[in-house]
Amino acid sequence: MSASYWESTQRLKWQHTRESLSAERHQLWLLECQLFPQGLTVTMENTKGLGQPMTRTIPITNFDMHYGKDYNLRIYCYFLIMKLGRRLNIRQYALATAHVYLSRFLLRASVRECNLYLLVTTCIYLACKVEECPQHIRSLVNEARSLWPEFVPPDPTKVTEFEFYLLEELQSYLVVHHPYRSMEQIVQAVRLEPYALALSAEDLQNTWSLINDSFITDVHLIYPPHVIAMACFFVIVCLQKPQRVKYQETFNRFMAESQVDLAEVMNTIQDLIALYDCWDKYNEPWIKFLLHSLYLRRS
Amino acid sequence: MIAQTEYSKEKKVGEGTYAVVYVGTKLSNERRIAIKEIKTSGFKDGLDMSAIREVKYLQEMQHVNVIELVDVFMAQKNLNLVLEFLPADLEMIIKDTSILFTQADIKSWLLMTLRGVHHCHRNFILHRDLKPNNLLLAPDGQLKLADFGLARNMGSPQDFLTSNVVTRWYRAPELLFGARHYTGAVDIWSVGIIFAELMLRIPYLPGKDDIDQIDVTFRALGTPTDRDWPEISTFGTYNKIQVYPPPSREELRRRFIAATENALNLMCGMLTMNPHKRFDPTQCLTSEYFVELPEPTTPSELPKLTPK
Repeated sequence: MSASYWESTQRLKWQHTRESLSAERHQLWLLECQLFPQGLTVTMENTKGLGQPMTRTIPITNFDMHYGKDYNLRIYCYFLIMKLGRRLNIRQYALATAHVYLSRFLLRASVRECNLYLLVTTCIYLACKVEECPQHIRSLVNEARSLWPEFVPPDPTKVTEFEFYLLEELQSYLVVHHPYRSMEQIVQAVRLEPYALALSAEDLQNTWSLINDSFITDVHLIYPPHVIAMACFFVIVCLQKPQRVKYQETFNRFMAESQVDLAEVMNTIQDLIALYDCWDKYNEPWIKFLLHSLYLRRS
Repeated sequence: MIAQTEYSKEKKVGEGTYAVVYVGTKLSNERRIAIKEIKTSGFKDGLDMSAIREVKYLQEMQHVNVIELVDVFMAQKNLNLVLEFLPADLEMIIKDTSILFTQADIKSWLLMTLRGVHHCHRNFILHRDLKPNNLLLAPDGQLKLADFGLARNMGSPQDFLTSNVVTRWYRAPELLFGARHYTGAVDIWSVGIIFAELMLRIPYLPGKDDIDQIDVTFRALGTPTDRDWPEISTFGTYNKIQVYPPPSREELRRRFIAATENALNLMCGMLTMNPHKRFDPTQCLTSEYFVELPEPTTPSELPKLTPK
């Protein structure tokens, strides 16, 4: 927690509306279509086991590998950040910051023009510095290389160089406020009269996990952190077994009286529901295959 | 972030460990600015933590008593911070023996410093390097906190902070004892020492090294006891230090001849050994000292450096 959210660059410089977000993405889409009109040609093994490998061209206008449209890519990015973060025991707060950096960066640049694995490594490197838990560049690069040896170059200066571009695309606005802190404040607030609601440790844990997942969606580019925290709480409270009607009623009353923008809360919930729908169809081998074809072809 | 052509670098005015400072002009409106060029040391370790901290915090803060970060741009593989141009600092004024300043001037500088510190603290930011040299003076007399290279957010209780912060002479006792958890009180201590320095015109507690600093501090202000600071015996080094009696009010009056009783109250409040009992920025700003006469000098009428 540093500086106030209301005066923050997150709100004043980096808060989008859905319209401005899609306008910006459309710009990038046009640019990508211009830069890579030929799409991506991939070579696939013949699944029947026999015969020649076949080649297939994926047109640039397909949703694949456009961060704005491809949920496979988004979920994959989330796992990349988690994987590297867990290896190094990095605090969730710093990983959340890294994820926001990644989403901001991919609003301005395509995964076709940069190395996603290097981007993930760099986002974590910068976020750790900003959140005051700096990682040694060598150990970070070593870990990243042990996970993705073909894609992360051994030379650490590649990361520091990328850090520079990242900072530029972020317009050097580095402080990010996350819903975790708001979550704690909500817990404090509902505990007081007239609500006197003690949320269970399990509910807190689930809310925390839901917040982690929310980074896959666009809500962090659109809504303030307390709205996201409220939405995640609401979902978790809703999923209670039916005998806990009282619990849900009290929470709903708290939410209604909290003066948090309910329309924004509902929109966030909608995004989360959409996310889990996409997650059911998540096809990791496919996105991995596409990215690897893309990067290995180039080198 | 605007291209470099927007600004001109004219003269090199200083060089620190991680940056070179130039004066220049913003070409579109002829505004005088300072450009801090961060050395990237050939991308070996990436951007220095101090540079990150400075960018991070200054982007978020706008206050008349905090230096303004006008812009950030990248050029020739260097990160450049465009800052407002502040030609003097408080250290230069204190050292320039040709300048006389009054109690009202001191009050004005102290007031502006405390306003800046208050703004940082209410945004949960610790400065951690307050000293006259980092209090810059604008041409219109406004004082601005600068150099946020050591700043950080107030930690949550589980965070360990380093006690190796703040220039030695301005270091609070809990830091001298190596505390890993501390609060905004470390900044208030520094301001208290700066207040004393403004009245004395020489550094108040100039320790020769870290060990000597402990001695100098407690000789002047008395060794704290566990009666007024119960946690003190938990610091490992506490038992080994010399015990000095606290100075009597009379001794302080003799040392700070021109100070009023309210001025001494404020100074003692800021230089309280126990960080829990030390004044916070609000207590300082609402002190009687700022209400009694003389009124603080209007910034534009404060003494300035004599042009050489």
